Amino acid sequence: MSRPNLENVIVKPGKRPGKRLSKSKVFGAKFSKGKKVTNVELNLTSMIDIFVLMVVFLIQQFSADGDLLFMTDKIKMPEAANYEQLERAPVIQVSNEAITIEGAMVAQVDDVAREELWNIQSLEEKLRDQKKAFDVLRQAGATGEFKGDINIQADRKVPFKIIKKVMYSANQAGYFNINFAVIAGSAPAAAADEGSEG
Amino acid sequence: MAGVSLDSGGGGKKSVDLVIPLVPMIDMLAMMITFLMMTAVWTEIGKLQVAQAPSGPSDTPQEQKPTLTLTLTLTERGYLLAAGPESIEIPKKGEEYDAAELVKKLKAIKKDNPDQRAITVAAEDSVEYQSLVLAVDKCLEAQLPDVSVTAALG
Repeated sequence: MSRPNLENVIVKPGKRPGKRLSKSKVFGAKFSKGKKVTNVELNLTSMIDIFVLMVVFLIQQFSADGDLLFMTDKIKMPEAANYEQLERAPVIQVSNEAITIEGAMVAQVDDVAREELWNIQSLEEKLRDQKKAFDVLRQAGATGEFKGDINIQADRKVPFKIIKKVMYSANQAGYFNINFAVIAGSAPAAAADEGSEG
Repeated sequence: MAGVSLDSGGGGKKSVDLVIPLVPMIDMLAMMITFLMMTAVWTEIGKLQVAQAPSGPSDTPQEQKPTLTLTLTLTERGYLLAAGPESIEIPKKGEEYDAAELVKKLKAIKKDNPDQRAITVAAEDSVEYQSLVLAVDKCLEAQLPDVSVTAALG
């Protein structure tokens, strides 16, 4: 006498799907008794690799030049290809509205444009004060020599009439080495071609 | 956590497991990335050194060889390049100054006068600062490093 197959008859009590539902791809998984792996491992090695590469790249990019000038939306500097490294010196900012030195406003551009005089009196006085302060520091024992450097950070649309007066004022105050601050740009293709031909 | 297990091979029971503390390392790297990204300067800044003519200082006391009086004037119409008695006009190309032609002329002058280093750039009052900087940049490109800036007469 053969024994009936009890595996299909005796089942564990509880919710169970019908035959059709258990074959369904959508609903069948709800009643699946398989053990789901919940232990997720992070790929730490590759993550650290990426971090290290990012740190190396960012350290290479790191530059203190940005601290020498205060970048503002009001001043869009011109580009130049044959530039030198910018050095620490008093900064005259010339926007389309105002002229400032080390952040302190000294004149309005409109007023300067109307003025017939070549020098900007307030700017010249400020620069003389800066030079005096430098001399006092040097007498007090500070090292360094006055080189007469000045950085002009001007907007690209400012007319030369204003720049001329700024330069003249700097010159009158004893700052002879005038530097135009520029954004590093690449040489135009046409000029590069000319260079390669020559 | 990452670790390295070294089997001593002998019967000694001294543990030689080495655990590298990855969590503080990741923390440090994350902090460094944050700091460096916050302080990163994405625009490189440089300078073009000029002197104001004619009152600029003469820091070069050494004997200077006689060279050409080279003057580049920026006008509303374009460039006017005066090399001694000769002068060449380089008109604008549309609204833009013809910088490529200027470099070509300057390089030709430099080729004929290898000792030439000085050039005076003069500009009319209405000329934009950008155009002045472009002219100075092109002078430097043509190996004329002693650039003086002055106002155009007239």
